[in-house]
Amino acid sequence: MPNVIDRNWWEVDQPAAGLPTNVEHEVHVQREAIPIIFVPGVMGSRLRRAGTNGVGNGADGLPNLRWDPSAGFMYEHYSGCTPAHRKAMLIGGMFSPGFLEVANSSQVGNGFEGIMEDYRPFLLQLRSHAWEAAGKAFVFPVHAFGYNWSDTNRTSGRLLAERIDEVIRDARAQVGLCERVILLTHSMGGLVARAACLLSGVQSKVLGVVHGVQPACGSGAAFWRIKAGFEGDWIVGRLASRFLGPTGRDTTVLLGNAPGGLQLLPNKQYRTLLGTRAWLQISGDSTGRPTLPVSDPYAEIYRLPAQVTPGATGAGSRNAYWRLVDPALLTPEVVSRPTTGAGSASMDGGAGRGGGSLDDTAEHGMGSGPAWSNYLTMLAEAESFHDDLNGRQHPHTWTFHGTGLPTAETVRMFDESNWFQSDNYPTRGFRGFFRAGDESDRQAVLQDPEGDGDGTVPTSSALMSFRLPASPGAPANCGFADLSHQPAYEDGEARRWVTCAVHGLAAIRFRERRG
Amino acid sequence: MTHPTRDDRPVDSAIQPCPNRFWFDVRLMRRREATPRPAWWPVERLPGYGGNHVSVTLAGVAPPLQTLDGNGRFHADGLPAGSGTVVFYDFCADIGRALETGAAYHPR
Repeated sequence: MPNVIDRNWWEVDQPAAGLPTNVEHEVHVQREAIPIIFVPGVMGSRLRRAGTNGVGNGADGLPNLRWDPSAGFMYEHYSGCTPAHRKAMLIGGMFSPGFLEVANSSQVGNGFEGIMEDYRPFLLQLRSHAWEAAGKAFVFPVHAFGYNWSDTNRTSGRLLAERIDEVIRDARAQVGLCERVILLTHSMGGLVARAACLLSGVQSKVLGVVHGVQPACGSGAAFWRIKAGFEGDWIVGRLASRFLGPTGRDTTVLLGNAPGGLQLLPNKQYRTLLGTRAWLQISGDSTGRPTLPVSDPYAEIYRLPAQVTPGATGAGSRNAYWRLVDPALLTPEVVSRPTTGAGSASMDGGAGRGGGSLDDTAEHGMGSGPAWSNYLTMLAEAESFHDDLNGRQHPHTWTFHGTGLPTAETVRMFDESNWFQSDNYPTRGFRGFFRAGDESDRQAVLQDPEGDGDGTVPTSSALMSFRLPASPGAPANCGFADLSHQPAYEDGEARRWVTCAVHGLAAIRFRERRG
Repeated sequence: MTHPTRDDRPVDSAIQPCPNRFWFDVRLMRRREATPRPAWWPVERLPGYGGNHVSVTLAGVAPPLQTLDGNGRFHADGLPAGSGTVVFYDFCADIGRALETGAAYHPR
């Protein structure tokens, strides 16, 4: 039997004295596992109806697997579907956190099964990365954390915190030593990771966080898409838009009925690259630049109902077409009410317009009822969530983001005459109708995004508006030209940068151990 | 009265060196970890630390610095009796250097 000398990796260079001759000696190195947990973005987790195995159809005739962002599934279940169908699939009658769950096998394992397939090549590459000399001390198992992205990120953060404990336990059983994990996030996954660290008390179990394209303060794109649907250029983009929601009716019914989506809106910390608080430019505003919000987007833009058409009569209408949610779009399953006035025709599978004679929507029934009350409750949670985060992040945080692509840093609606348009929600567009002082019919047309960013997250938000210093050590926070939001982790340079960041975090651990 | 056995010892030396028939063997390896690994665990190479440098001092004598073989082993024969001291002197320094180098991002 050999003489075994156990050493922690950080003590291996200490002398081992008094080893007799004619005896085999083995110095056993206790390595340290640092699991990497990938947290995907919104819509990046596969979801099933809670309580099912995700196979076949349920009693309601709908598939038990409710969300799988692979082309085949999306084509079959979401291409050309009505807003009512989207709601039935992902929300049900009213949002409930127990409606959906991650479509994982019974044993979670590495969690890859619960996330979008497109992420896997990157994660497999990361898993097989040769860490060279770092591997003498560390081992980096790779996990994924799927979550119900329709739910509040606060809850997802709590579940991630529990998952971190499980992963540490598992890695400790494998290697013998594991105290901390690295979180690697995509888009909204950054909010989940920050919630886990800062609101669920696991910051001390997280060595550091690497954020990719995080909408740290929200994104104007979330507002743009709720009003107009998902953008999409060329064939692939058009297909993605068709699957995810090509009109404001399709996106409002989902994002407006789910707390997770509302937490992507520009929050109170949101600033443009110019440092201004205002990001919404309303048609006809004489300043020619964004004027809202003045101080609080929740109070000024989100919390009051949008009225996208003016009353039947009266010049100089004051209908606030520019507010976030048109209440009628929250409940497409409700039979249309009789409507009057321009733009009042029902244009979808059940989402009627709510025209009326008054500009104050609350007075004629819009902005009331259980759907609107539920929306306000979820909006309050979004506000509270961001207030609680308060722009904070893990002290060891690195970020990368995309630049150079047209991105809705600001949202602009330009005034045009309106002779014949009657649909507020054309494909990939929005028109807010109003009446000018001379009684002419006008339309405020939502403009294409033209800020700087990755197509979804503006540079300003990804950098947390420059208020927080970059964490010490290499590599520096990095912006990649023409890096697109959704496939950010498919980019070779971004992947290389991520491995540098993992090295950087392991270096922090090295210094902690070595002193 | 018996006589000492004859041998080739010089008659004028009472203290003789021991014959050098001892060996020294040390291996640097990972602590035995759980097996089998889950299917999704990173695939890793041999558990030894081949190529690492080691300083071995035997019976008070420090031969030149050695390099572990491919299995992370150092072995020496023909040694005098005694004990040794082993120092894997650049083990941690190598890791530290690799981490600093790996963390530095240079755009292509």
